[in-house]
Amino acid sequence: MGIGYLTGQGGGGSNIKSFQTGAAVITNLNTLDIAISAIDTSKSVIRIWVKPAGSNNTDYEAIMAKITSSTQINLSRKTAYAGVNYIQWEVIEFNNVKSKQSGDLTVPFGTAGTFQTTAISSVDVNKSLIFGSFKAIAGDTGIASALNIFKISSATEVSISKAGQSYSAHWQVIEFK
Amino acid sequence: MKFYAQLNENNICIGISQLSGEVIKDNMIEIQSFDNDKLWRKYENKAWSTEKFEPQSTAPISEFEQLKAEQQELSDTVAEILLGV
Repeated sequence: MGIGYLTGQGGGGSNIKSFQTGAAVITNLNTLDIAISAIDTSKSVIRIWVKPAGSNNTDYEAIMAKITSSTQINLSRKTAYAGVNYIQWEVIEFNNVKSKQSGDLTVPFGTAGTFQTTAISSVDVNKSLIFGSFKAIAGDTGIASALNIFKISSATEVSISKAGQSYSAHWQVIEFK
Repeated sequence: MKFYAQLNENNICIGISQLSGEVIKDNMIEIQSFDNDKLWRKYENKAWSTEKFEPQSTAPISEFEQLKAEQQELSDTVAEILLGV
């Protein structure tokens, strides 16, 4: 069961066209759709904060957030769980966007300090931001696997850190004019 | 807007990307849409396999599970001592 709600829209600084946020509760579910007010998906990103349910299991605790359409976002995890995950989500729609790129990437098991990379179309790294979230796909190694790094490693590459187990990451790179 | 499937060293799709322009990489295959169903399919002879090769868990027993087992063992030992078994 999950609940989402909107707490605000509009306003913001000169570079923010709209801002929507909400709290979602996920228990006994592995996916949850939440309706939002219409946005331009080519100029918007989603980010989340997760309060774990206390299982020490990334199958339950790692939450992936995606903008699935102009009026909907999705939160998902590998496995449904009776414990309660509290998720704070934000959808930020920007002005002055030059490009937005995004993708899903399977990050295989790897030692700390190593990265899975993916190619992107060239961006100005001094005018770009990255956002990301992830969920487990192949079993748990404990909550330490939930501490990962997303970075724009060059003008044409995104890097996501490997962890104690394979996981699926969703990344978004937004470049401003 | 361009869409790509990213292959690993075994030609299995490990990523789907929606990019603002063209990229030229041996392991990036241009596709028609953001099609997540291609994830974990193998790309051979310009065709996608019907089978999916989902990553398998290599997880060892987590530290939590290990500590839990050790605690249970200690509790059992204490119970045995107290009961004089």
